[in-house]
Amino acid sequence: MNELSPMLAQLVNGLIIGSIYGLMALGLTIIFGVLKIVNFSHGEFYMLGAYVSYFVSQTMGLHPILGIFVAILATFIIGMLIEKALLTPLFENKVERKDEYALLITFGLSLFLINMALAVFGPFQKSAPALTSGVINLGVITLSSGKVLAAVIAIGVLLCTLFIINKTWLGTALRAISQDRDASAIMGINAKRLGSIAFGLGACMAGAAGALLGPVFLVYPIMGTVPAIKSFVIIVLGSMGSIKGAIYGSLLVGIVESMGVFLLSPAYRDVYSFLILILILLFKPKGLFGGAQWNN
Amino acid sequence: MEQLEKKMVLGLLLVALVLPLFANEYTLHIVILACFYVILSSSWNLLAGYSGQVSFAHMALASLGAYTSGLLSLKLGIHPVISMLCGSLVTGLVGMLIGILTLRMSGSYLALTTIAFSEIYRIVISLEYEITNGQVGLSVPGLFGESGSKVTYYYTAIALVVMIVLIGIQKLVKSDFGLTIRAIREDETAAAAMGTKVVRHKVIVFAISSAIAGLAGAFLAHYTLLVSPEMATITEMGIVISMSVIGGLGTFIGPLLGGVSLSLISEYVKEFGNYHLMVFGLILVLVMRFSPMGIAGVLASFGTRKRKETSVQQIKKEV
Repeated sequence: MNELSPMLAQLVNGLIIGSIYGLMALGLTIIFGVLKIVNFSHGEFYMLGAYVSYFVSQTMGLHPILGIFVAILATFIIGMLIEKALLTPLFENKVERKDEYALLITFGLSLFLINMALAVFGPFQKSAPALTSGVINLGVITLSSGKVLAAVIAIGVLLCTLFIINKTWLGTALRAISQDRDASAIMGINAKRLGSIAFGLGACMAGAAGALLGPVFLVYPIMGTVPAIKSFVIIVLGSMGSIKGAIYGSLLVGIVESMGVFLLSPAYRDVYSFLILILILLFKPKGLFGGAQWNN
Repeated sequence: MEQLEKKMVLGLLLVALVLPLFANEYTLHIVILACFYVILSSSWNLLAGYSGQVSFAHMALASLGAYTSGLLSLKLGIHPVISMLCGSLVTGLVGMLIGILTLRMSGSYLALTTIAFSEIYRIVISLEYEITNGQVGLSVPGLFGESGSKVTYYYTAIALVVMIVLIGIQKLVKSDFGLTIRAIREDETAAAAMGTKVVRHKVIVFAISSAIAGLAGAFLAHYTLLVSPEMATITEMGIVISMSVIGGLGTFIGPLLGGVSLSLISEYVKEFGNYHLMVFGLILVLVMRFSPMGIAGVLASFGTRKRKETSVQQIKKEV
């Protein structure tokens, strides 16, 4: 058992990080499902979330968990405003090539936000205060309780979102739009307003992930790039637009990463997910969960 | 628009010809950098503007060309001219592989895979310090021997490369092949229904534009005598995209104007810190939102308005 314990520790670590990536990937999935676009500034909402929670907990001296909720609220509002300002022309037939427009405008937004953060907050790496201190001893392995709490909150937010999507009126309306925008508009659903809400919801999940991982890693302007790329890999892996796919995909990426770190080399941690992406594109280009049905 | 475009290209050509007579070495250095960006933004425009395939790996591919050429000339002692061509070839092949992997699917897949490729590529070359010398960068031999102060030589060489690349791209776009890729951009399904081999055409365009990027990267490597992972960052990619989009996607003159103006601006405001990148990002977003044709579109609408006014005046005279 003792020989296996480092591997087990890595595995649990992978699952914890994976559950937080799942939050980000689910955010991307919600945006993709409702608006049919890939948000290339997703990593920057992650960064904004981390900075907001850092300032709430460090500068204002409040409890880090409160910082997470402020971060969720702030990124939700910023996301909604950005959708209203930049993405509404997509649905008013003012744009000729929608894919291209959405890609370039969200990428431009990402360039702007990264460099704004560099100008405003400076390039320095900041370490956010941990959620809680101390370790949890499970006999075979020990875990830092801050990480475990982060994962528990991530799973809580994840379950809340799933509840909203599956059980509430808002979720039903979002699912309706994701299936057929015109038909749901005819049935009296305000697709425009719900589009903003969906983008805000997606953005605030990235913000929550940032606020949760800020204390684990460090907070700096380009911190969002690698997690964003991992969530891109996850949504391709789990079939774009599938919620189930996003959740299982993120766990798979977490496991593969931790096993790669354990068995091969820790320096290449961020590379393993790309290998999965290539394999998926080669053998199962539509992802593991088939088509892009939103509620499967 | 065509008239205006011709006049501007001629004007730029004239400036380029007389520049070495008046400019000092520093100015020429900046112009060489501007030429590098013109090649990159024009070739990215061939891909994104004319065929509608948005790739985020263009700078990573340029850096791949730079490393291939640098390593070949350093380790095997091949003359930089040949190693640059090899670098370009390798980049074209890698571009083709990425294309085959992703271009079967819809547009977002290419963007998702290339952004992942670009970041992973950067991580790998920063880590493999035994081959690439890591973050420090690799010193490579120069294109024109050892001694410095040969800026005019480099200037002439890159000016030739720019001209060949631009003429080549223009010829390609105006040919039947160019018509086909523009048809694919407008409506893939319709183009496929007309019997066009959509995927094959997209892969070829991707390979060509990657090969051009590789050539540009290799040239820069043998000019600055250094290859570092810096070239492959997402920020650099953002600069090139800003140049094409602000200049005007899908136009010939756009990337040329965008490349020259943005690289000049970023060189002269460098001392004030990195604010120019924030401004470029903001302008990129605003251009996409309010004037998707960029500077070229503004110029074109200006031209047509002028023509309309003159025709209105003519009619008034006749009446």
